[in-house]
Amino acid sequence: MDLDLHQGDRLVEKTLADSCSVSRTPIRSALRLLEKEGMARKAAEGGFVLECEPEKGHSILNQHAVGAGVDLAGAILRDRGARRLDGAINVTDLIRRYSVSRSAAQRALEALLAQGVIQKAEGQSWVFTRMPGDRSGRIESYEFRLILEPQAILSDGFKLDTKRADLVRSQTEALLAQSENSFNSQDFQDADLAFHKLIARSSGNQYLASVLMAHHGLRHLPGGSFGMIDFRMRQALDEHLRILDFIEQDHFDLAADQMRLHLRLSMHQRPSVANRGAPALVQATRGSIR
Amino acid sequence: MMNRKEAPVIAFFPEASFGAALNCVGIAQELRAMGAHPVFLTHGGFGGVFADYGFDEFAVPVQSELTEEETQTYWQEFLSHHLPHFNMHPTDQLTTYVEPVWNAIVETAESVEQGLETALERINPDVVVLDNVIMFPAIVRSECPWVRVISCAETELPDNCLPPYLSGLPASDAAGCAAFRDQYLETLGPIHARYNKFRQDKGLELLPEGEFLETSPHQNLLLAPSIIRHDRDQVLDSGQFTFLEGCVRQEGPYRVPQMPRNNGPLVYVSFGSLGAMDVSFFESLFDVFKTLDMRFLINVGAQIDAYSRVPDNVHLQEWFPQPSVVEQCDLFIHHGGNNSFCEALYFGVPSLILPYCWDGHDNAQRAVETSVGLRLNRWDWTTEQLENAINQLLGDAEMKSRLAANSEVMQLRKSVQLAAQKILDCVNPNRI
Repeated sequence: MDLDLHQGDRLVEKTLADSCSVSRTPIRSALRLLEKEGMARKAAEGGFVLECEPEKGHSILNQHAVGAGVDLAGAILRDRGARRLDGAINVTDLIRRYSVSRSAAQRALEALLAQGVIQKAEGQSWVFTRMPGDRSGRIESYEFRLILEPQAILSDGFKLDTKRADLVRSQTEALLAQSENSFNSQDFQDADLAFHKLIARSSGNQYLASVLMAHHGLRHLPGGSFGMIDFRMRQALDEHLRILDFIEQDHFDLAADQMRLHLRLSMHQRPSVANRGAPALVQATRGSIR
Repeated sequence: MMNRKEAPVIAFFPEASFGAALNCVGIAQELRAMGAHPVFLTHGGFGGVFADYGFDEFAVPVQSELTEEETQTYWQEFLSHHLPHFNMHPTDQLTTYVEPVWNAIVETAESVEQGLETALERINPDVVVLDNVIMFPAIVRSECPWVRVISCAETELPDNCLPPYLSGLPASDAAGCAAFRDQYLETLGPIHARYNKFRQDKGLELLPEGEFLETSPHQNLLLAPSIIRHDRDQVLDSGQFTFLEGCVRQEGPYRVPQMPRNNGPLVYVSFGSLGAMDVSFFESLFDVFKTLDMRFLINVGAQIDAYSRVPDNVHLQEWFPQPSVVEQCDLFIHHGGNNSFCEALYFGVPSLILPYCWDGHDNAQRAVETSVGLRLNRWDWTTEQLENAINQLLGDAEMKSRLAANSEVMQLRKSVQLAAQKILDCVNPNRI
């Protein structure tokens, strides 16, 4: 979810429904579930208050989900992101690691296939595809986005989703209001995804929107632990706001140019390896050193 | 805050290694907060590192810049050639590793000279801060005050009472120190002669054998914290030399991730960007780590995509905001890089050092001598030794208490501010 929630925050039905693009009914059900799990409590003045930090809540819900065989695909993705699995997996591996039934393992693989995360390989194996968050896939991901994201802004049908834009803006400004070196990269990544999804959704071109949303979905998967410096994160958030400003003033060309600049600055990678007297290497050496 | 127009320009020129680079970032952050205008002169490939912290950068052109492909090839060859050398005794590294690296350092000094001179003319800094192991004549010839940062182990600044630089020997081993010193001077003799010739051509004084960088007449900043400092034969002039208690930069917070096995003490492991290229070494560590009831955060650098089957109590990342991580951990396993060692001390965390080159050997030896950590040799460590060393350090209440007290001293010293002030003190108020 593209909201910056913390323990003690009010869980406002309307905000949550807007953020998730659903009606209030499923949100009410979800809030009742959180209350039952001890992650939310009813507030005296009505509504609910978050009773734990979102990461802890995620973790508890994920454990329940895996236990119930519901979110096996998510567990596989997290383990893949943490490099706990091989590049190729099969049903037997999954049954052994997650203590699930054959049919649950099969369903999880089909879900991952539909997400574009795995591909069928020889025999009974499935191989993970390269993700935008992988070090080896990151530059390609930026190059892909450099082609499409400015174009999304320049698309004839581009119409900013103002409700979402207001949410993104307030989330971004709240982060920027925090003191120096106080927000972490996960908070930034959430805000970053919310902004870039907003641009994709607003493009007015269903094909552009769907391909960008799918790519951002892959970016959201665990594993991209590259870390950013506080200054650059703030600078990137400022760039988001600048792009929104240009769009709101109907300066779409400037917004598209600013998007290109933003992506180019973000794709910079610190040197892979450096040593006194040697030229610093930016890309990884090909293959592992063994 | 100083007026921007009046803000002194401080030009940092760190060597192309993360230790020096990030050490300078810490000082530059403080200078910026004090109203100065820090900028960075950068070696090829390091562009963007300092911009990410919000600093202006000036790339120093070299005479023959390698293409990306040539740089790739350089590193492939460097690693395949030198990885076996990292498992050698410091004495055996003199000809296999230290000599070629010094050769490369001198070549770098020669190749950037013209570009550095041009860059300094353009920037016209009030002070140059050199965090390196060699002098670049353009700095002296610019007639600008310059500050030397000694961010390697204290042994970088020789003294009769100190063991020789890069030896990993205790000072008490007089015969061993003498033999190492002789071999060092003999091995580096031709390179040193070449460098002195270069200096002479540029109008600089010759340096004594084995030395590639003079002390600054203006200010010299040494990172070595008092807890590991040596007694010197020649006491350093406190007006010209300032001992810092480390020099730790600010980074954003770090949230320790949940792991499938999420119990026990938190151990952080980092061997620097060069050490991270040795995937097999890390995999051999995994075999031990997975048997322990602890959580391990491991900096595996650019090789992260090479790993699979990572144990459930191990979390890999290609980069960490290291000070924020060390602050939360119970033990730091590292290569003896001076920044890592100082950060461990700054946050009161014991060090387990497995050095593989350069001053890592000296820091490992000093960690043992001063009881702030333990050392294992890369060439002969065993699973049992590693496990025992980890358990010993985690269970040593006396060391923990002493490190906590020292951490308080180091943090109270506010060394980054002190370093920044010493640099500002070098600004000539009458300079136009």
